[in-house]
Amino acid sequence: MQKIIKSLILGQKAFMVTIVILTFLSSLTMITVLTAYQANVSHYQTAYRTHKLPDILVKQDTQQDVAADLKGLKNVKRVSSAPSLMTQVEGKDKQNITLLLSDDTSHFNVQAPSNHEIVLASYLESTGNFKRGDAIQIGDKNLTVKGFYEDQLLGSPLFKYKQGIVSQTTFNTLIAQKGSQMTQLAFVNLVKAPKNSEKLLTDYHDRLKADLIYDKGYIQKAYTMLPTIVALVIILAAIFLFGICQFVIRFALVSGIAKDRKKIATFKTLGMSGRQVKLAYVSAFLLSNIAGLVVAILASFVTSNLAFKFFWHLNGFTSVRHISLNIVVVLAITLLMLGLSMMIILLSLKETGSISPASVFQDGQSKSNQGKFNFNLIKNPLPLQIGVAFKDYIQKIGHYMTFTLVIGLFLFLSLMIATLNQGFKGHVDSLFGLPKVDVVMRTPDNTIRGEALQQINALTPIKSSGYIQETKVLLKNEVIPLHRYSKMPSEMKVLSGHTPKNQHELLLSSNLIKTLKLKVGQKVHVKTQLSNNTEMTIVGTYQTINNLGKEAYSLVDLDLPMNSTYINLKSTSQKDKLLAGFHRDNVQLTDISASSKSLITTIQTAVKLLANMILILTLVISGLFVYLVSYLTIETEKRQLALKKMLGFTNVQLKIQYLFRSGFALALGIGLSLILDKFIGSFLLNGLVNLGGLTQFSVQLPLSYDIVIILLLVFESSLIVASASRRITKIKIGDFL
Amino acid sequence: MIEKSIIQVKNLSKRYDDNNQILEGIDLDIFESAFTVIMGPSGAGKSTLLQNISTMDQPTSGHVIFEDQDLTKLSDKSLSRFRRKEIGFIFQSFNLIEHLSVLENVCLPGFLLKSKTKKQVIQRAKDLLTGLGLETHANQAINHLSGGQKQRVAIARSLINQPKILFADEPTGALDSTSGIEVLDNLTLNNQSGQTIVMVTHDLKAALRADRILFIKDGQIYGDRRFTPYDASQLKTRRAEVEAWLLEMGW
Ligand SMILES: Nc1ncnc2c1ncn2[C@@H]1O[C@H](COP(=O)(O)OP(=O)(O)O)[C@@H](O)[C@H]1O
Ligand SMILES: [Mg+2]
Repeated sequence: MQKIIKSLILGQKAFMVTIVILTFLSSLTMITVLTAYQANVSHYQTAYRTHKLPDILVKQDTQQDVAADLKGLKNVKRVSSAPSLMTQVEGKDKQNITLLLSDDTSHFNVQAPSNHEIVLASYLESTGNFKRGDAIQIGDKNLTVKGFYEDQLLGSPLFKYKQGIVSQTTFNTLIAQKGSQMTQLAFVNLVKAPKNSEKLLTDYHDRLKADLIYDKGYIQKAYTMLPTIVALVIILAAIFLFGICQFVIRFALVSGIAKDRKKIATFKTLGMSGRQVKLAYVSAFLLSNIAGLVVAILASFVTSNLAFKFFWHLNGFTSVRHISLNIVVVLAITLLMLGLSMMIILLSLKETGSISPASVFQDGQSKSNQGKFNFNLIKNPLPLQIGVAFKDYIQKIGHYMTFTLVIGLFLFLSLMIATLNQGFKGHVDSLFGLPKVDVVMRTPDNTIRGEALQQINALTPIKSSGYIQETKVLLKNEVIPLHRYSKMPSEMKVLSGHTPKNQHELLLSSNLIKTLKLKVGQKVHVKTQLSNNTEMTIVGTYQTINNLGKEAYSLVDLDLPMNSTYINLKSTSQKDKLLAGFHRDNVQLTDISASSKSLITTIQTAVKLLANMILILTLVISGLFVYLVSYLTIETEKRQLALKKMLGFTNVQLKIQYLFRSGFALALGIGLSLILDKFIGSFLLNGLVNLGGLTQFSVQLPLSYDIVIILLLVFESSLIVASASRRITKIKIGDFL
Repeated sequence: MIEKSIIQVKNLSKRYDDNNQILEGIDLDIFESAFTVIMGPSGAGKSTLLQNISTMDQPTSGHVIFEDQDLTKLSDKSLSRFRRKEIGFIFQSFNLIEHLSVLENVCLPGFLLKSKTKKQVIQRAKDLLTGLGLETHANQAINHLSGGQKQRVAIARSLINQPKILFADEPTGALDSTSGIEVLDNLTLNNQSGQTIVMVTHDLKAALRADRILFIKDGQIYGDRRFTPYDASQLKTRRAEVEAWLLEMGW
């Protein structure tokens, strides 16, 4: 009996290996990503807690200490504040970086630097902006980078301020310098967490003057947003893999049983019971499952740490930490995997019961399932090769449908992630609802503005320029940054309504209008820096996928000072030349996109990596499947192949028939993926980015991408079918007929 | 009558991988329009010989000459063409393609050869099926047929391209005696109109149809005897004659 079971199992080698691989891949990805993601969140929370970071962070551009004001508020338990200094420093490649300097070391795990030194947020190291020992010039002072510290407050790649810490003496020297921009950081601890985190410190009269008011949840969301998106996408892929693994198990069993009919029947005549036959299969497949799972669990010790490190870096942190496996995750995945497989196996095994020796030995071949859909070779005009291939395809439709589904689903996933990748490529500014502005010029003295612009134009030709006012309004009790331009930037993608035609018209971000429950055309009363009650009309919404930035646009307010000018150059690449080469008293140039640049590249890298991973996975899985299906069909059709050879089909003709058959299945799979992509792709994608903290994603994948990926699949499948069908040549007619 | 050889077998030997020598130095001429039957004890190598002559298998050494070509040296393409055009094959287990209908099975080699239009092939298939009494079954599925009907479909299929030689390996082996006789009658009828047939059998009734019987034993042609062409009216005397010879061979 032992031998019998062994022979049954050995006959299924190809399947067992596939199942081991698929179980391994899907469990590994799930365990890894879930463990790393969970660790990412909990490590962040722990770090936040151990550094005694506040419930709310307030940043206000003023000389005065705001602590006293904040302390008097209702829900506030404790406030500590630190005066800070906003400066522009030059990083690698002359990039402008906005540094928020302070001498406060109480909130971070950092030793106070000496008078010639500065300590920077670790994110600046991981993005390659600074190294230990670099020299930084701030005002008249030359400082050396002493080291880096992890900043859980403002160090996220999603925030535009990077922190630096200097000694008390240095700090005092710097604030004493002329034209230094003072700002206050206030760390607020609340009596109890607010129910509605949108309405923080509503009783604070200076709310409108605060540059930012972030609560703990918001900060955490910003930190964990990138890992969340990445984790979600990978988990989606893992779920696909997991499902496919179940498919393969069912497929393996059904076709394995069909192939082994004779063997099973022989065993039955030899006195083996149906239960013993079942047991042989169950043990074989469950063993493959367990083998894949065990290897996956072992491997995930390593991969979880790698994934965690990757996520941790996405957060802007560099320190390496070690995480251990999450027992709950491992247990859950193990149970899910084995439970589902067991169910599928038992379901599929029902068929062995119906195999009776008589039914099998009657004509020595497996039952054919002609009927249902009949395709007639006689009456159709197709060339013989295609006709025969199609007929055989229909005969094995079960196998090929599985193949079609697998390829369809994976290709769909691949297209979706490629779309995501496409969306993050290139025009990220507009995706994030940021108009493209190369540099902003500040001139306190409006009379020299014209001359300065001419000087700039001579150095680097200007494409467009105009006034810009960065203001804030209080709308429905929320502080909204309001960007006022003398001419609305053309990159703004208007989703509904139109762009503002005067200073009383508002263009809101698409998610802001949703969260504030407003409508286009509605009149609203807002509080501005100049007036407590101004009526404005919402005239439209623009597209942004970043729901961290709830902003609004309008035209310049004639009552506000016009001392900032935005400048777009004919060639953006000349920006560095301008920043380095332009000097004029009382005129200050800033590159406002520099701080978002690293964020953008971080996102782009992550998404691109993902897209490539999924594409490779798609190719591997489809390749595996093409091979399996080809291998199996040839294996079960050896007799038919011998027969066809006897009738005079050449080896090449027979191989081409297999190619056609896979071709039909592949074409259907590709069709399926395109249909899925068209009808539920954007829905799913938007759901996904929504979970990750972004909204509104409407990007079209260029047709050329579809074509390339499809060609790649077709090429790969052809190669694999060709390779799998080499065995046809070896089939000897005499052995089978 | 001058006998014209259609296939010449020269010094053919067959040995399987397990070093089991089945055929040893066979020299043999198959004559045109003859009904040659191969007999011999079970396991003697009858099927092996048939397969090696008909290109279904490759001999270990020796040659099979057909119209000045050595069949053992053909490429896959020429071999396939030979199989399509020059030979038909009938088996004990029918070997029809299960998921094709009766008509499709019969037409397939015709479509493959492409020497006739599709219409002509279908017409010839229908004529053949009518001749075999299967006209009403043309569009049926194979597994709805009885064994005898299946074998007649196989005959129709083997004849679709008007092959020069028809090979049959125990065509009545899986049939009841009535169906067996029907099949044999069909083969005889074809032979009488000039069809060359080479048939392996261990069934005396089938052997009676031959005008030549080869007896295989110990890897050799142990006996080779001519008979007058089959005549149903003289069945009794023929039966005695054949049986006597076979007994002499040790059957
Ligand atoms: N593919 C094979 N490999 C090894 N031995 C074989 C093979 N096919 C047939 N044989 C052996 O060759 C001998 C002759 O077989 P066969 O020609 O089928 O005999 P029969 O005369 O009954 O038709 C048998 O002993 C059989 O076991
Ligand atoms: Mg035999």
